[in-house]
Amino acid sequence: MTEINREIKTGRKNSQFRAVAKRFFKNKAAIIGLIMFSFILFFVIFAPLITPYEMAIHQELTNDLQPPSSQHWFGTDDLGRDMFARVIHGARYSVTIGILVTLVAGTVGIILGAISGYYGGKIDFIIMRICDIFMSIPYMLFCITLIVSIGLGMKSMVIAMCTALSPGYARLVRASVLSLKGVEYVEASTACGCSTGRILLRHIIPNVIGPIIVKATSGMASVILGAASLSFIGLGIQQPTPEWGAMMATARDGMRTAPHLIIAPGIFILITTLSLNLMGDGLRDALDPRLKN
Amino acid sequence: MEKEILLTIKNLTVKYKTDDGIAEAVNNISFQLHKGETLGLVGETGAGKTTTGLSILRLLPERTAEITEGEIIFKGENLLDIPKNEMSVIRGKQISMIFQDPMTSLNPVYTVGSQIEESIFLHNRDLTNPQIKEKADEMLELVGITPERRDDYPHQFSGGMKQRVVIAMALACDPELVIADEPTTALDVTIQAQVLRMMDELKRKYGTSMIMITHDFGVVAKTCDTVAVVYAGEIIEYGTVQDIFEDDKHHPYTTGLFHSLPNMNQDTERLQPIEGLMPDPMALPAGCKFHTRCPHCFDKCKTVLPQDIDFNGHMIKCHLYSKEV
Repeated sequence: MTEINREIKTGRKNSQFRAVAKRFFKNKAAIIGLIMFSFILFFVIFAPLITPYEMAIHQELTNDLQPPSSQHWFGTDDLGRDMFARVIHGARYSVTIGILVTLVAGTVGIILGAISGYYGGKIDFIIMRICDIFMSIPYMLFCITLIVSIGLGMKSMVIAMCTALSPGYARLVRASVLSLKGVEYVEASTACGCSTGRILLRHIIPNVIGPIIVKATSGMASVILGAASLSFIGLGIQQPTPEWGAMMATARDGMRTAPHLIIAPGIFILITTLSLNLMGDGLRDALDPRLKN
Repeated sequence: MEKEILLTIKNLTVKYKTDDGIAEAVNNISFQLHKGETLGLVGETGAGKTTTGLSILRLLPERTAEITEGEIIFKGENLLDIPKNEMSVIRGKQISMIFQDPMTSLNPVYTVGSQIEESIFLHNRDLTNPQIKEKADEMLELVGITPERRDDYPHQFSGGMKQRVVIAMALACDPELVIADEPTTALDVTIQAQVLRMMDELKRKYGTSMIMITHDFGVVAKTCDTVAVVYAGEIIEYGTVQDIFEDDKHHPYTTGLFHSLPNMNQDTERLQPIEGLMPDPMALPAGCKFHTRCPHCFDKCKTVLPQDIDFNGHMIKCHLYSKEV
């Protein structure tokens, strides 16, 4: 009996999810985005099976700056490393950074925004003014300053980007929470005896998650792009770790003679960010069909 | 036989502090509610009915509203002295509230079943999941909804059904007092009658006391035992339903309210509304709050606040009757 009940329950629960999915899959651009992102995700997951990591850092100085061939699909770089291996292993770094930064910045933003919007008053003022200060500094400049002051490398890049991005999420969440705070079902849940934490977690945040998902998806694209930019100027991931931005930075010198070195990672950055943006747009339309028109 | 007193409100005064000034929403309201009885709070929009209801549960907006004076004694305990975190134990379990608009008082992202379950879960932590489910199904059935619909979302219900769900949520923990804030205002008349009948049945079945906040005398006649007519944050007339509907003596405001209702027995061309508007709560008139609109107003009304005049439990706050007693 409980089994049946659960089945009915999950069936119904999915129905709302299914409605969103249905709208999402009607959107051609979103499907293209999804396919492109799956393609990248495939490399992220299966990169070591396709070609071992050693290939990405193995130097073969006699075999440098080779154009694409059957042996080296994307050619080799100035140190004779296989570009294909470097690019697909680079996907792991870029996408991981994208997901990690978005997740952390999103979570921190949700917590700060929810507290700020729900409690209001002094807490709200303090949190929002700090966010304002962070947001008044250009994103890249902020990251650069922070990375330089805490040291180069992937870890500090992730920290810097999370710090720079969470105020944006906090602001978005705060605005939604403010409008939800006065809604009767929130008041009703207080009248039911819910604690503040429970109201925030169970009643408010699920209702504001829609715009956050949309922002996070497109935001992930800008994180990947940002990480590539920071690595390009030498502040992010350091050589020999394969990272698209860093790879492009080294390839810049030989751009005329060996353009494949810059094109290969460039195209992957393009595919990743484009696919995420397309998916973000599709999700936005699917989650709130009214916005489309 | 004297019935047990469940709730006593003494001299409750609530002020809203806004940027424009201080709004005196509730001024010195006192009343008593016996176990199993229903009290109707009747009045115009902005009279302070909802504020009174919310202050019992201490749900007033924290930063603007302030209870400046008074006691709310529920089962011998002053709710205003209870620490904030202990209030959530009382909310829902002993006192619960039915809100005005069923369209917005259910959370759109959860199924109705899980919302009823939540209020059961919050106050019965020892129950297992199947037990909570069972209880929620029971509640749904009680309000006339088949338990099969427990996994539907609020948007899949009609307004009347949603209000039933809200009522099921409010009654899920067998509260001793239910504050119903205009529970039928958003519903059409047929559904109104159904919902009211159901609430009445449930109330009788469980011996729940109720505070019915409404502006509809029809609702009052149908459900209430005692009635308090509220005007500008004061109770200006208080009595049993018989007192209010059948007695000859009334506060001029109550008389005015009755005149603005269609009457079956009298042939009138036009209804007689009460002239003017409710006074601005930020600038309440001196003396009797109603004097600006009162057809019987005399000099004393403009300066002296009338006392409660008691006619065997039927209380009227008006100078007109002060000579008689």
